[in-house]
Amino acid sequence: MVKVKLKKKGEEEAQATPSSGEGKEILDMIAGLNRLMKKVESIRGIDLEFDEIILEGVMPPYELLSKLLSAAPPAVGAPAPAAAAEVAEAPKPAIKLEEFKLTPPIETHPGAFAEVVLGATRDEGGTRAFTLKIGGNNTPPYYRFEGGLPHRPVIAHIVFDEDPGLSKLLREQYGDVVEDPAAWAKKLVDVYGAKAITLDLNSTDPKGTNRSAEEAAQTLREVLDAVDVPVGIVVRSGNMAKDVEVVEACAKEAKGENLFITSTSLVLPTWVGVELDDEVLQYYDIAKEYGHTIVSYQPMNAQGLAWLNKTAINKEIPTSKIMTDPGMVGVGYGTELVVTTMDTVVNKALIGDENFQPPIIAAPCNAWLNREAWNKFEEWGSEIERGTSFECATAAAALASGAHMLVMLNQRAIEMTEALLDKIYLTKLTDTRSVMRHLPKNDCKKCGYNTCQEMAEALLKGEAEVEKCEQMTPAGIRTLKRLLNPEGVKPDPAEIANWVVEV
Amino acid sequence: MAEKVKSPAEVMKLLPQEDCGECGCDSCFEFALKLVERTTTVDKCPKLKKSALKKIKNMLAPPMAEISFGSGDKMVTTGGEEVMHREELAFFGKTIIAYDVWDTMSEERLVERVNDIASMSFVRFKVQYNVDAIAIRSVSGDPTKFKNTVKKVADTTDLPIILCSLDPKVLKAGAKVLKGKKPLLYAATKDNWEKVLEIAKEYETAVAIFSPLDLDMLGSIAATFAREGINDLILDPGTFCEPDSITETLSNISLLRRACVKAGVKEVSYPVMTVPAVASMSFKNKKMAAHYENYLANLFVTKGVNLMILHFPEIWEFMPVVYLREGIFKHPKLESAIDPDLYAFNDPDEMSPLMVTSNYTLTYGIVSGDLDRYRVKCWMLVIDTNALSVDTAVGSGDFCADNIVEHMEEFDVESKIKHRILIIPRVAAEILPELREALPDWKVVLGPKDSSEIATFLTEEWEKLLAEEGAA
Ligand code: SF4
Ligand code: SF4
Repeated sequence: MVKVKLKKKGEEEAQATPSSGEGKEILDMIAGLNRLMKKVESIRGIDLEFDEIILEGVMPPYELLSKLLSAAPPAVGAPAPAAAAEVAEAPKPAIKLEEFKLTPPIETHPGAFAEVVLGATRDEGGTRAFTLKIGGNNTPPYYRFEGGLPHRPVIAHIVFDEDPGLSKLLREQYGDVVEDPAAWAKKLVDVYGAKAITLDLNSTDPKGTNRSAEEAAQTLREVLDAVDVPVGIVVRSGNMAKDVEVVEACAKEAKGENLFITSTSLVLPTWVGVELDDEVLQYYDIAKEYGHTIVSYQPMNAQGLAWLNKTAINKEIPTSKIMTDPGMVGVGYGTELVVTTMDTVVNKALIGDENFQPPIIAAPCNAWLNREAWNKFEEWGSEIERGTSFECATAAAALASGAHMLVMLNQRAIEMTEALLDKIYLTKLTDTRSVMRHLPKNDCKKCGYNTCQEMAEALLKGEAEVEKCEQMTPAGIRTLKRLLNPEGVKPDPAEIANWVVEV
Repeated sequence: MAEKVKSPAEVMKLLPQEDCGECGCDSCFEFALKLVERTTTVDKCPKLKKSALKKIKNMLAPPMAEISFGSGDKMVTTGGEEVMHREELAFFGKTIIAYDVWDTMSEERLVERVNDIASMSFVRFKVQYNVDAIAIRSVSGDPTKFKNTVKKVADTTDLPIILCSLDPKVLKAGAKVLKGKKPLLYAATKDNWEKVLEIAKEYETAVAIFSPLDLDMLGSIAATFAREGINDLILDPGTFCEPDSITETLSNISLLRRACVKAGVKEVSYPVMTVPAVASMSFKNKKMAAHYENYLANLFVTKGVNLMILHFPEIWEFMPVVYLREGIFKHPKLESAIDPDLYAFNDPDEMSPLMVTSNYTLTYGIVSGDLDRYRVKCWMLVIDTNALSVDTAVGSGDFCADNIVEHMEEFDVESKIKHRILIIPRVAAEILPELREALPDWKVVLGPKDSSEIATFLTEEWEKLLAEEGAA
């Protein structure tokens, strides 16, 4: 035997799903009745108090029908149908929502990263048009519930002093300037809007071209003359004595410019308490004498980094003149070890250990050392896209782990990163190039301007509306509008509520 | 405050104290240590009494729930985290990567896309990486349409399925089709949770709880579901990718993790998911959107997010995310070296080329990957270099003539191989003179610099080398 149950709103539903035969017919019929009732409900605008009719067991159609009829829709304004009480089981108590209030698990951090300034203006003894500040955070990266994000990370665009064997994608960007580091640097600033440059002096390797320290200093001079943004150098001759020579010649040449100087050959794997080589100590003395910022370099070795920093601090170099380089490698090649190193550095810095407080510089451009970034291999898809996706992935790992400065190579990856940083730091866009990062760059003229560049200029002057661009999604339009006028922007759940249906 | 990492001494008290070695450890204490660092499992000790086993299991249970969905051997599991940062122990709840399809696609396109997603893969270090799950979105809002789509997808692939709709009627239609296959319902919200709870109970599903920017509600719903017996829960605090809101998303991920592993807040002690697919709402240009999605995905993986739904099944985007994920979720204690041995690739015979390399996991992984990919028939002698790469090991003296000779003797190379030609990596050029001296009967030659060039090198050189040897 069988009964029919009228399911009340919010009540739990019973199981009964005959899939064939008589049961199936009945089910179909009920479904039809359900629809009918809904219809009545919508036409009359009344609440039937029943969501749907559910069948339990199997029952001859006529009997079913009579039961159903007894539960016919009441007249407008009538109380809940009495028939329901006869057929339905006693309603279960409504399920209660647990009450919960999350107290943000805020921790207080006694320490903070040091603030480091890159470059020096004329007033400060250099010739740079501006300086940049990094570091200074007293919370782990992007823990907004604990505090703010003081300075947006800076991207240094890398220039090589001799062709490192650029891949196809990079050749498209730098092919015309690869023989001339000064022209390369100028292109980075003028065309790509670089805010900092780092010059890689790889030609000083005695096993390679073996350029002299003087030649290296001359190249640096040309770069400093070609651009007015903060500049750094990377010395990696692979030979300690040569590195010191190069560092000294460059430091002298750029006296007062506050270069950031990385030397990768000076420091072999080191640990707390290890006596450092004379060359390292000389490097510190040189940097200090000529007013530059040093970069402690130890791949994936937090304790080694702290030891180098400590040695520098003992030489009275303040933490505001030191940076920490944990030796970034491309994803898949030990990135997680660098991430772990950075975790340690961040934790210790925030506890208040001075030796870990110099801000972190990481080089996602190292992703290009791995074949995935350039190898032509059909099963891996377009190598052009891979070159960008691998460098971006590496940069993402560095940023999420708390890098304060990135060294990058490929303009497409750099643009992606800057656009992301615009959003994370809610940076007000004030120049055409930054606005362009958020426009489609199709030059389709549909907005009434001849190029996206013209549109960008008009937007900055307040003469155009972002909505006029026909190549953007609503989210894209919202993004650009907010970045042009960030005051009062607040996250809004509506931004994503439609993901399920809209993508 | 929850314990950061558990105490081996406490576990030790519950072990049989027999030091019999059956668990693979030399002593019970070593076993206790390994249990705490989660490099072994408690069932490895056959002598444990049931009660002690249960106690140890309770004691070691991580603060974050471990959850699963899907069925059969494609079932996926995640969660079980116990630390904020990898440096404290390890991350365990490897990010499940899902791609989406939707119910307004034509059947033909649907099947094609499902197949594209299911077959997107690459091999690295002898492991094949595939997509873990498939998400089906109800764009039409029509339960029947959704039901049919789910049916089609389930007929096409056995990947675990995530049913995406905020309308319980739609979710129910999908869940019905997947009865017994334990889909993940996406999602329960403040508006629909009651109905979703009913469906989850009836069809025994896992549930994602979606409460953008409202973490109190997230915890409320999770606690309610847990009370009602639904424990396979995953939290979505909302994936925002627009100015400022993206910062909130990054912050909330860390906040939830800390509330779970440090503050022990039960209500939010579940794995966390994000939807990088929202990136596609920001750009009309598909490539731009895919790159943005890739960026978000890698930020989230670094932060230890446990499940992500992506939209662009492009191998060039899938690869870096998986590369990073495999690293971030690798147990640091299990970063072992490769066992030294004479490895055979692609059925070599006694006249196949012989090469030598280091036992650094990464070096071996890359070299072996290339040999497999280009189907190079050869022998590879892996020597113990203290897990250093070849160039570093040359510098440290671990990749030296004596060491190579020792390994050749240990693995009986001279009787397994008839020719007397040994190819060494080009980066080890400086050991060539001493190696030639140590192996007077052998012709030692420099191979290519990068292992991806081995195949070409051998095609061009091997016959020549053999002929020269024959002539001599
Ligand atoms: S409509 Fe948009 S894409 Fe086209 S030119 Fe104007 S700004 Fe550029
Ligand atoms: S098997 Fe059990 S009793 Fe034997 S050593 Fe291991 S933990 Fe101890």
